[in-house]
Order: sequence, then C-alpha cells, then structure tokens
Amino acid sequence: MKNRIVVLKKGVEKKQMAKNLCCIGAFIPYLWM
Amino acid sequence: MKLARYSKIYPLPEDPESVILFSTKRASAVLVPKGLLADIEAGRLSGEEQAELAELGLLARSDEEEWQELLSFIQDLNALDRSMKFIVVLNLDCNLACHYCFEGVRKGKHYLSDEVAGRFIDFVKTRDYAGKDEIRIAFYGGEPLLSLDRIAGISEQIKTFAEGRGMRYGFSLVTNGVLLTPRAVKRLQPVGLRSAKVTLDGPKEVHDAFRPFRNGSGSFDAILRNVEEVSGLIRIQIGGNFTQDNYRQFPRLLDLLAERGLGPERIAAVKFDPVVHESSEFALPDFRDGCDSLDEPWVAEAAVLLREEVLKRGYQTPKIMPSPCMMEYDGSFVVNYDSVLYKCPGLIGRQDCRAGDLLNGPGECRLTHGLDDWKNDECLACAYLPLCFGGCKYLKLVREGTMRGVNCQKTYLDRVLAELVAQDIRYGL
Repeated sequence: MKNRIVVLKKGVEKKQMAKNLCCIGAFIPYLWM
Repeated sequence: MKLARYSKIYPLPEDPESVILFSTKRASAVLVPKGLLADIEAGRLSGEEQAELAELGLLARSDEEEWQELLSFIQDLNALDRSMKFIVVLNLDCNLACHYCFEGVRKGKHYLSDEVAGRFIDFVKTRDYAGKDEIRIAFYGGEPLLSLDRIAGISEQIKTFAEGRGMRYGFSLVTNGVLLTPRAVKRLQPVGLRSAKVTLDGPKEVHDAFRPFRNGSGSFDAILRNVEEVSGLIRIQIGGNFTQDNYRQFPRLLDLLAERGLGPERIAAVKFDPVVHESSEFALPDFRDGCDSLDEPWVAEAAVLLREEVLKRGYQTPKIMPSPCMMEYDGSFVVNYDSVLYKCPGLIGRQDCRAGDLLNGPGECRLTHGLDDWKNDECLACAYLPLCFGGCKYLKLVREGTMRGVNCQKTYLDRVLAELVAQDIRYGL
C-alpha cells in the first residue's frame, strides 16, 4: 500500500526541549540562549 | 495501536478530504487523508505508515503507556539537560520608569552586595554537576547593566570555576537596552556575554509612552541606537509587552526595525507578550491595564496576529513545543539580590514563595508551588498536557493568590493552537 502520510514537521527531540524552559508564561523568550 | 491521546486533529480548509495531525508531546505534524484515521482504529495501517506515525509520537499502544510517559516527561528532560541555570537579580533599581513594571513597588535602590555575591559564587561552586557541561546565568534586575561591574566580577569567577572543571560558561542579559552600549558589550564579552533580551514596546510613540526615562523623556531612540550598534557583536532578542489597546501598532515596530537594517540576520528572535497585571500587593498604583489570564479573547487574537507579523518578516520566534516551567528544573534557581532563592522571577519578594537561600541552600517547594497538581485524571486525559503541565504558576498566583492547583490553558489553546501550528508549518519552524 502507498504511504499516505506527508510529514509536515518532524518534531523536536527531548534534548532540545530540555533547553526550552518557560519563564513567566513564556513571556521571556530564550532566556538562557 | 491507537491515535495518541496527546495529539490534535485539525481540518484543512483548502482540502476537505485531508486533516493535519499534530503531536503535542513531540511537536510533530503530518498531513493525512481523513480515511487514515479510521484505519488507525481498525488496525489497517501499512507497516510503513504505522512505523512512521509511531516515530512521530502520533500512535500509542494504550492510554496507560502514554500516561506513564507524561508522568516521567519532566524527569526525562531534567536528566537530558546538560546545563546548570541560574537567574541572578542584581538589583531592583532602574533607569526607566515603565508604567506597568511587574516588579512594581518592590523596586528601589536595592543592590546585591559583595557578601551576597560571594555567597552566590560559593553556591554555584557547590552544586552537583554530574551530567552537566555548562553553567548558564541570566542576569536580571531591575536593570542588570546598572550593576555592570558586579556582572563582570561574578562572571570572571564562575567562568574560571567552570572552565577548570571542563565546563563552558555563558550568560545573557534581560535588559531595557539603555546601557547596552558597544563599550559595555565589549567589556562583558570576554567574561561570557552571549546574548541580550531587549524590550521595545511597539513603535516610538507607544514605547515612549510606556517605557519613559525617570525624567519622563522617551527611551526608544537610545535603545534602538544601542541595538543597531551591538547587534553585530552579540545575539539580540527583541521582546515587547502589549496591551489590548496598543497591540495592533506593534507591526510598525517590525517595519521600522527592517528600515534600520535590523532584519532577521541581525536580530536572533522576536516575541511579543501581553503586559501582566500584577496583584494589588505589588502593582504600580496608577496602572490598571494588562491581563492576568490568557483566557481573555483579545490575548489569543493578539498572540496569533503578532506571531504572524513576526514570522512573515523572516524573524525567528519560539516554535510550539513542550516547554516546561523553569520551576520544574531541579538545579535552576532565581537568586534575589538579598540572598533569597526563588523558582521564578515573578516570585521575588513574596515571603510565601521562597525556595531557600544562599546560606542554607534550596528548600522543598514542590508542594507549596503546586508542581505536581497536574497529575490528576482530568489533566492526564487532556491532549494539551505536554504543552501545559499545569500552566503558568506565576499567573495563577497573581490572579488567585495561590500556586496550588492548575492554571488550565485549554480555553487559550482551543483558540490559538491550530493557527500557531499552521504558522510553524508555513514558516518551517
């Protein structure tokens, strides 16, 4: 059967999520970058 | 296998026969024919399709397995996080007099002393660095650049300590930008300055009305001049705080940035957020605007509109993905100028919200901060849980006077998530 899935976003690895903390309702972006 | 509980199905107006599946725990998205949804439930996927959807976090064996995954999600991120992070509130003084400042009446000529600086450095040196390869500090205020010598002094010592242990050290500034001159940047770069978040509240006349100098004159020109001069030296992130009355004017700021040569190649990220109305205990007495909840419909409208304006001009902005609250990170603390530890900058000065101090070390605060309160049947059943984990505790405290319980974001995410995901796809985030 033909693959019917078109990937639009591959997603984010947990390692990357670990760097993306939320601060004050996400009002402070990229605080530690 | 079944469709993952932590996923959303969004229709595609231009293609009624297809839908978008978005995984809230992996931030992945696929386009599939509607018929594929029934095939998932009936077990009629091909091996290739099943493997692909499972890899993207869009299929699950059972609710129980997904619940267990979510219950250990934050623990997993803690284990993967290789950096030790601190926010240091160097002072509560400021050279501006922003009408809405959330630090409000907490402000004053309060500065971190030599003694507290020494305690902080000792505190940093005595943390457990197993699995860590980096120390990161965000210097915060008040206005951190009023304490430039202190930043340099602390950084020199921590940089030496970190590098002596084979770790990296770097810091960022959350600054109003007035003192972010090339001279200041060049002084701080050798001791670890990497980036600065500067606030511009819309075009000049709006910004100057909300963020004047203490003598009442506008600060916009001075800040923009500094941003122009230092954006080639360090990463500059532009933030801005909008109200219900002024958010529609913010795109004009983006146009002005482009006119001044501050396009995406010179600005690392842009993100605008609503002004928070602090609780009456701390709010400035003359400011009654702002919001204490994302549930207000105008907040959703503004968030989507301004994010689109940012993205269509090519600027980066945070993509939609699980971003747990900094309170959830084991080693992460806000260090106030007076030696008290907190888990969020919004909590400084609140007696009941302390999380220890530099002399005695961190204290237990999971219970008082309600950090496990999302571990209930209703939240575990919610597709938004990976994007929420109980919501912003600071906003809950401001609105309800307690951090216990959850700050449910369902109403807000119902309004905005489909469009935010569409933006991420459209702009390749």
